[in-house]
Amino acid sequence: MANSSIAAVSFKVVLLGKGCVGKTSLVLRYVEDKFNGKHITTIQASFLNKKINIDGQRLTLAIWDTAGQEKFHALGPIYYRSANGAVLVYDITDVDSFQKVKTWVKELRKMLGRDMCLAIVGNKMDLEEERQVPVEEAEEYASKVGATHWFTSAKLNQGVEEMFVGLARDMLAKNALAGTLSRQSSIRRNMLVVTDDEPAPAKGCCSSGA
Amino acid sequence: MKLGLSSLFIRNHLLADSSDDILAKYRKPSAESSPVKENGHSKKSSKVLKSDNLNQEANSFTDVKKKLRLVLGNTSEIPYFIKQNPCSMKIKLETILRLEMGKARKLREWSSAARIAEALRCVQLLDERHCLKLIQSLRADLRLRATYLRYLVSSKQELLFTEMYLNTLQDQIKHDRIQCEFYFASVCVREFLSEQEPLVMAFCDEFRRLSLADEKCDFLQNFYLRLFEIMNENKHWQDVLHKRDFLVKVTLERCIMSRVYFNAIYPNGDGDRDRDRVLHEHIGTLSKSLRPEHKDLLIPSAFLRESPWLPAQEALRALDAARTPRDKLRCVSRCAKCLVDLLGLSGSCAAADDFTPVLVYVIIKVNPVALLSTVQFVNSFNAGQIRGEDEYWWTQFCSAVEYIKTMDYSD
Repeated sequence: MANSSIAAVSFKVVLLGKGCVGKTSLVLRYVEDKFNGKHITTIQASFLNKKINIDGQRLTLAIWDTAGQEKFHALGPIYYRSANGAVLVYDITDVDSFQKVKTWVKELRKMLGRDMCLAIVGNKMDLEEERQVPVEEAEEYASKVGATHWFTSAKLNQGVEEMFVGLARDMLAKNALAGTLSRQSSIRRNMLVVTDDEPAPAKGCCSSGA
Repeated sequence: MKLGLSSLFIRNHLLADSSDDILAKYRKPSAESSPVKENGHSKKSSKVLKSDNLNQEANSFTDVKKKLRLVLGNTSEIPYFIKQNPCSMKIKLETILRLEMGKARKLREWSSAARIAEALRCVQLLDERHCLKLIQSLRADLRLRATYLRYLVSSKQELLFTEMYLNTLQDQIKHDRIQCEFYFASVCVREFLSEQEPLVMAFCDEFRRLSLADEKCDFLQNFYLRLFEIMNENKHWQDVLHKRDFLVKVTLERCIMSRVYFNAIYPNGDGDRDRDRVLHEHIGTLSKSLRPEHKDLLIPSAFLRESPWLPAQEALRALDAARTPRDKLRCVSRCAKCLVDLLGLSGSCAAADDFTPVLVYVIIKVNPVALLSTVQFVNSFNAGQIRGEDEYWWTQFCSAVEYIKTMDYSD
């Protein structure tokens, strides 16, 4: 446990959202700082690793892209199983894509409970004048379901880094909480074993401690 | 070549200026430099010394040129504003040298800073006309050396080509070495296993007897550990294992797994085979009418130029031949990466939106036998060991198989 602050932690993050909302642009912007790179590159955008450092804690984000087409929706569970966080992307000019995010949130909460950190992301904020999804509605919804809400523009490179770092902080906090919980329970179990096997010495131990 | 040039210069010099003029010019700027000064004095008294003196002037001229060339040879670029500036050549030269000086000081290259300072001092002693001559002479040098320069450039090019060729050869040799080590390991492992035959036989019997997948998996892992322990007790094997433990592990897994392969991949015997056969026939029917524009795929036309992605299909065909979960995984990863490369040829980054339907298409076209059993086999025998990118591609593969199950034959 003491080593966990030094050892690198790895988090799995899935990208969910309707096709064409800019999931890929978002992750490419974050990992490679590129937008719509027309030049031939050997990199692929479906699985990317990003090493970051938060308050001295080194961690790796393994970012999993998923196919956003409606027909592939049913495959979701295969991807988000064992993920630590999800980035749910919608396009602020597309009400439909926001509805899709709501479906994902409902599904994730139902399947995984509160174990997963959610970041709802309104992308394409550079198209503010064509906005269809009201800011208040989106932010209210996010706080209602216990998710963070972000506005980004992959095109202008706005808010992308902040969003991923924010999500990473959430995941770290959740991880630390889970760590302390499991430690407490393991200590308790050890205590129980001792008292079960040899009640008398355990008592003495307690009194000497007090 | 340098000597010839300077003599040429002297001849020109003699023709162009009257010697007194030259002397006067040389005297003024080089007032601080004592040897020249002395010469200047002596010149007045005797005309015999003049040619001698001229030689010395010429020497100092070649000397300055040499120093200047040494410095300017290391200059990467002369700023445009200096080239275009209408100011005198002397000022230009001095500016360039000062810029170089600044650079050298910043980089703490003290020896080159000293050289530049010296060149700057020499240039400061000259006057404008002389500077022009100096430049002309340098230019003439350059013209004379042009052929040699071209030769140097082409030689360098040839050297680079040769280096690249040698590097490729070295890579090939490295690869041959890996291949040899691999064969060596497999021969050793086979030898080792033939010595342990009773143990392996007992293992195979027990493995077939077990019915639960996780029991089989634990039993297998424990058997691997046991075999490694036996190996480690042997002095001869310790040498083989040294730095090759991964290779030996992989080979060992292949040998053991191929002994129990059919029982491992079809733990429920005919039930599993039937299930696979149904899917195989389903995919076979799908494959007959499948085009990339199929309603369940809708692969964008931008990606169709590389259709039907044959190299990826080839990579996936090895799936049935692979015997261990590790090899099967590698096969899937290779197919996926190959697809990514092919999709990348269309000019944009392959995202999951584009990748998933194409992978579905490729799997249908290849139609591997025992698809469902393969997925189960890898998941149960390699559970928790799949990491990073491999895990992602494997998940993509599993989800594609799931998707194919739901596809129907309507176009």
